[in-house]
Amino acid sequence: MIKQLQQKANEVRRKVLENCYKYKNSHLSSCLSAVDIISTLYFGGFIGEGVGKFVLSKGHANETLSTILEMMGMQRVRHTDHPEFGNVGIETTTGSLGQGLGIAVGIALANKINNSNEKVYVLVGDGEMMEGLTQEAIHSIYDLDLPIKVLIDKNWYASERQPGSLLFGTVLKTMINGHDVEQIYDALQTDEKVIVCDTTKCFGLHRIHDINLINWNMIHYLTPNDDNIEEFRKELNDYSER
Amino acid sequence: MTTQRDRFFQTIGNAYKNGRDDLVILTADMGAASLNEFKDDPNFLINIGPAEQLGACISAGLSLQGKKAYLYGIVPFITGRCLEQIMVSICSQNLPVTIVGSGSALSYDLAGCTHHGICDLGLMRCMPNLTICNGSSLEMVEYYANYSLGCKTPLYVRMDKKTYSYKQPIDKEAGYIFRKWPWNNDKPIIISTGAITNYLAEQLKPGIGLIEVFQFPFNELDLKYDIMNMKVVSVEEGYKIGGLGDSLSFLPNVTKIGFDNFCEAKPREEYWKILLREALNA
Repeated sequence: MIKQLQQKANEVRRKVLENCYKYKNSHLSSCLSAVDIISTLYFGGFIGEGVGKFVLSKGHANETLSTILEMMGMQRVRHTDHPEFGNVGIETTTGSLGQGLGIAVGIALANKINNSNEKVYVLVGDGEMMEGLTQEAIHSIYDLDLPIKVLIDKNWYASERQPGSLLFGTVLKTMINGHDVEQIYDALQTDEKVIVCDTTKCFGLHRIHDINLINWNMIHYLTPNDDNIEEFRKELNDYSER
Repeated sequence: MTTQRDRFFQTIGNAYKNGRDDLVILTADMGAASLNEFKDDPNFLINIGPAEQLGACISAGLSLQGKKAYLYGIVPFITGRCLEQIMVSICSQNLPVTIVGSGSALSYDLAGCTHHGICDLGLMRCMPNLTICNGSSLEMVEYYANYSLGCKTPLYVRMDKKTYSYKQPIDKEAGYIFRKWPWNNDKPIIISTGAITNYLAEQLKPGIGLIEVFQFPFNELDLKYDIMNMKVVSVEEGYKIGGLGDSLSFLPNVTKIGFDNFCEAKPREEYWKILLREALNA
């Protein structure tokens, strides 16, 4: 199972690169930090009718979500850089940071009222955690004891700056490697409501970090183009075959 | 004495008790006495605390799961503070959330500018898919409570903190968008909204027309045919920009009376007198 999940994640990574190139998506780096997490959620059987819903609160990683949905047979009605309600498989519009987490809280609250066993999973960026709304939402999750699991994609970069502290030292007990699908798979089966996933922007494109192919401060808006696509393809292939 | 918000929530509470188990009220303020009987029912009433931005998002999430969500708070906090959440989470997805604001205009007159609801009409008029219901009496609030129960789109019910009741019953034939008093075509006509309309109705001499607007947006043609060629004065207990007066911009001859800035903390009736005087001078 874990081996299959790793293979799926590698396949997603390559497809995300191609789709970001195709759609001129400027959030490749955030999409790649989230691949292993979202891929494990969907291909690990956590998402489905009556089983679990997924909300991508860090909406700028939508290309990863849309690519996975396409791999599962849900063709997008239209391309958007951020998730939009109405596209197949998209639970809610996100992209305005912090709001997806709040909406996920509402979905979980409805499930609790309905005595439903369906769980809600939500992926939040560490930069997004600087939005005040996320603090209100995290508080309410514990206050209302909601059936929700918040995964924080801690890729250490918020747009063009280091993110602030997460502020939840008392409740954030679990930190896992966000690129180790086995750790992700195991963490998803615990009762922890908030899991911090230690990740890397542009994960898989490690030579970017080594040889400074791009301006590191602009990595948040990295867009694959004709100048870099072949290099990126080679890197991802090398990574998959490691 | 029953307040507008109590009449509203009594209506919603009765619907819940009669089997509408899809109803959920999120409140950022437990001031409404009518909510007290539901305090221990977490399936119907959830006190989210002073976290209106979160409340707007939660109401959207509830709605996405098939719930009919009500989001209640004091006017400036349940509108302006969480405007972007209302725009994105609720309105952009056209979800049937009802936002309930208590304390419209200068209801909280002595509380000062933080509690004055003088900008919300302009702010909320900018929200796509949203209908604003501005009832000025217990009768209209009850009507809009019942209307909200079947409404499939975003709604903002704006209520006064104080209790007003119409001496004359609502003319159901005329609908629930406007209330109109008779007028002479050779005199100007005043258009208003909210509680101040009750005051104007008492003060104006016969012959000067008065129209109360209950709902925004409204069909311009419903007014245009009647008053296209008349001199119109809009009177609102709110900031002039974006509010009632601007909603009448399709008329060729409108003088807008309202506030140019924040208001001082003093009895609202003093402001009503000023607004009436300015309207008559216009």
